[in-house]
Amino acid sequence: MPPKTVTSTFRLDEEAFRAIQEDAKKQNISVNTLVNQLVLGYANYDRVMKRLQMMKIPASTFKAILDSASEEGIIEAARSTGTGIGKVFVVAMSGSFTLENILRGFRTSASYINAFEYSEYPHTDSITITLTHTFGRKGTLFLREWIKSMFAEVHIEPKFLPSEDAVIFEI
Amino acid sequence: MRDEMPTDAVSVLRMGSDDGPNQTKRIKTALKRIEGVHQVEFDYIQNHVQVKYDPSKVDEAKLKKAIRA
Repeated sequence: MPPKTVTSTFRLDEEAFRAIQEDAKKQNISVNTLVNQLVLGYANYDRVMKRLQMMKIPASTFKAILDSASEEGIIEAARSTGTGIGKVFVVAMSGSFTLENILRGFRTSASYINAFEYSEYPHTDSITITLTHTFGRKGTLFLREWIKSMFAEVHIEPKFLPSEDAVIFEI
Repeated sequence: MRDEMPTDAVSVLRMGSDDGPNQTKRIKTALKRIEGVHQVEFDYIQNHVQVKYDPSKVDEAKLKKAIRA
């Protein structure tokens, strides 16, 4: 069932509105669709990010930080991210820390943070998840430890498959 | 694991950075022509497309090919 909508009227900054009109035209969509997605981005994601003092950084900067860090440091940072802010983020977004909501958090991260491409592939009694990224070997290390620590909180041990530019695991 | 296993696979894939006014239309048409694709949702702000599909009928490589053709 499509989400419910409401009709409302707003006054917008003229220059911002022209930019939205221009982008909507360029993408062959209505201004309404684009504005709705902007508002959804705020409601679903930016609002939570602001509350948790999270920030967006360029992927190249994140990769450079990882490249200059020791493997022990990356593992420690990833683990504390998974059990700390990662967990808080999932709860703030979805209300509870469950497998479903962790997966929802991954999908949201793929879409809003642009951190990786995401795929979820179901089998009879398991799911294979793939996070394809551009952060290099140390990025794989970070994501792997982050995922491990998140799932440990819900007593699931992911089985990882070896890959260079992606983190592939089965739960 | 989940109480109820999903039957559809889900992929969140990047679109090209800027492929002109018909990019979305082209991708939507291409994806909807593929047998097994059940749902296509665009994120026009972040330039992503989320696709739900039947993995017994189509694989992700085919979706990526349709998106980046």
